[in-house]
Amino acid sequence: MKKKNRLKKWGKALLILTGITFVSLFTWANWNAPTITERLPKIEMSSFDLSNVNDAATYNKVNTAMQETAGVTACSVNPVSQMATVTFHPTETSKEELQSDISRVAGTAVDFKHFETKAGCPMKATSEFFGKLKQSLCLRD
Amino acid sequence: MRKITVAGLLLVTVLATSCKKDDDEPAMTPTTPTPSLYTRLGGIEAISAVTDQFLANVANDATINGRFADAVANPYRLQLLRNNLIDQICAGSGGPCQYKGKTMLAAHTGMNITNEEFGALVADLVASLDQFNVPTKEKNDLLAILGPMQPDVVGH
Repeated sequence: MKKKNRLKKWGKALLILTGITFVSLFTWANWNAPTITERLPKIEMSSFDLSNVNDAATYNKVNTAMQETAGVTACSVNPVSQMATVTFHPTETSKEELQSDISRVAGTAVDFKHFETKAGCPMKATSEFFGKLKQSLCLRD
Repeated sequence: MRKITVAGLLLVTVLATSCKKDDDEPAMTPTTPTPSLYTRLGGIEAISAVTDQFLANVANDATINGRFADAVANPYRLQLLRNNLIDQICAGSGGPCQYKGKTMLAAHTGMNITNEEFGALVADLVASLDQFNVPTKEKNDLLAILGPMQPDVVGH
């Protein structure tokens, strides 16, 4: 009976602690309204390997097709580095759809391009967990 | 009679001087304030479009894309990088943004960025501005804001 009471007490304390933590995080996430930049639609970026494409006309065709694709915000093709890089709204299209579109326009199967990291990146992701948590808890426009 | 004459002269003087245009005062012509560079660039939407193109150009540039590989591979980092770039251009051009990232020196220390890499980055930005037909004056004004960052970016 004593043990049951103690468990009940601990359960209650844990519930209160969880509630306080959630309220604190929710308040923190909604304390400041998102900035004008944070309110912009999110983008993602994908790079595609065009080493199978040899003529400049096809590079231009890929560029034009991507610029006209819904959800694409920017496209850059480079015959020297034999790549195409596309930025897009993930809510409107996906990298797989873009890969399929580029393959169709280029007339050959196109893979994703992964380039090697070279001595760091100016953007550190140490606060990624808290950043994502804040974004998901923020209800302000 | 004399009092009336003096009062009349005073009244005429007051009326005459009150109607006299003061030639020394500058003419009150309405002046149009020069729009900020932010406005001339087209606001946040235009800056965002230029920034996306700039990022795509950088990722396609074999000289420097290795520096950005981590950011490109991780959508969260890419978002941070994009927001920081937009904030920097927006704030520098007089827009309603505040750059909240690290100082250029702190962000680039340990990266040993060369002048060649910095030049490639600027060329990618200029290509992006050209793609959106940004006029020469606005382009130069923007580069004048970003150019002084070079000593903090290169060689650390």
